Amino acid sequence: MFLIRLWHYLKGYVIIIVTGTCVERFINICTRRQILLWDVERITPGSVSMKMSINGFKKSRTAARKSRCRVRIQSKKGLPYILKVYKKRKGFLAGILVFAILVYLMASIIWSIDIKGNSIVGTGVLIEQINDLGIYRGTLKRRINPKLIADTLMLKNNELSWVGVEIKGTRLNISVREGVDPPAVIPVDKPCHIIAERDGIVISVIAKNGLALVKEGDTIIKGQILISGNIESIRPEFGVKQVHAIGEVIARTWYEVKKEVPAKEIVRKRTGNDWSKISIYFLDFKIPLPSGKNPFVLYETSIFDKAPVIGKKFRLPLGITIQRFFELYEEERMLDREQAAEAARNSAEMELRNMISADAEVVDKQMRLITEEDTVYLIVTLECVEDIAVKQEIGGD
Amino acid sequence: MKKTKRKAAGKKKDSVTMREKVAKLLELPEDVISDRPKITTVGGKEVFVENYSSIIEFTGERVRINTKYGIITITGKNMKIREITSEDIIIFGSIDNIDYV
Repeated sequence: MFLIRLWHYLKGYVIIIVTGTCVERFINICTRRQILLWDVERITPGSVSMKMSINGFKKSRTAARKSRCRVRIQSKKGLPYILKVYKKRKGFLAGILVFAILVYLMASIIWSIDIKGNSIVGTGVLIEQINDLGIYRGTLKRRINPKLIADTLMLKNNELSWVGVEIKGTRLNISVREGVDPPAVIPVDKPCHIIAERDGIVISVIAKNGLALVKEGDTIIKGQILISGNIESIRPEFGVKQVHAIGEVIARTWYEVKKEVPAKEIVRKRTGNDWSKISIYFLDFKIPLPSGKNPFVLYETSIFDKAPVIGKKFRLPLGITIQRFFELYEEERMLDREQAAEAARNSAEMELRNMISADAEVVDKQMRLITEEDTVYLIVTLECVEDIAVKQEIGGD
Repeated sequence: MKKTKRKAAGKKKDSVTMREKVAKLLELPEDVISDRPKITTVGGKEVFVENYSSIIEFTGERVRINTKYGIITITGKNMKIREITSEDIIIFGSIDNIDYV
């Protein structure tokens, strides 16, 4: 029933009111002429309302004459009548068409490329590699071969252990897993030495295989052989036996960082004057609007993106960028000694944290201030206990 | 004139037509072949009449349909013709009676 109604609606129909003494005759003639009628209803004793297709209505003229009925159209329904109105509005039609094409085009290109899960490999590097494949923001979706992207990224970056590429709507999602490279392991059957990773004083040596060359209390330098893989026989005529040295060498090590403690600092402050430059961007293209030249000598800038945002995440690739320039002036300020030392200490500790290895245990921390040529330096020394044994193949480096 | 017409109709009603004879001979279902009116009702709501020839009267309370084998009168309330073609007619409304008069 719904389908029939839809069909009538698409073809268009009229609701007519037939008045006359013999409406039945009108109906009979219509049906005999293969005109489909529906929803025939008696309104008053002398008139009947019914629905009829447009073509049927044209054919029903003679029926009306024969049955001496008056036919009046009450209303016209259906798609053809709606379209008729829009026939005059060409611009509107063109607009609909343009809109449809635009929506289709917009939906078929990539608007953004998201890379997730990378910490070692820079996002910029990956983006560049993707761009080398000819994939940018704005590339047609169907030109993109996710498998090719995944394979290329895997081949170009040894750090990656897995790459997943997925096109979600207009977004290209690239998920990356980074694997940790296994350390270069020397095969157990190859002879090797154990050497020092860094300078220090030996606390204990446990040689499980090989000949220990150092003992407790020895000062060692970086690269020194601690446990030798060459075992010499007591009697020189038997020659040297080479083994795969295994062992632990725990040593006390020191790390030192020297930081300048500034006596004064230059502070830059905004004068309050600002000037802004507006540009329109679309994808990665920027069109600067003519707005003159930056009038300041010393300035800092900040960029505001004013892009329409849909939902929370999806940023439209079209919008304006406002770059604001703030004029600055310099001011010299004497620093509080303690504050400066504190700042120096913080930065020194940060540096030290990156220097020491993960399994090192910090046993002592020393700080001292020294003055050299009017400048104050802070020296932070960390004393650690750690295993400094590193295997090295005999004959190799 | 009315009388003779009715008489003729009555005569036709009883006789077995050539069509039906053929249908019987070929063992075809009679209702497919014959041109006798076929009435289907759905509850008291809908009446579906096939093989009619014309409608004689149509109001909300009474619909009279002419067939080759006599007149069918349907009485009820708020009746309307949902669809009408040259072969069948669907009447919708609350139906009280269907009479062969």
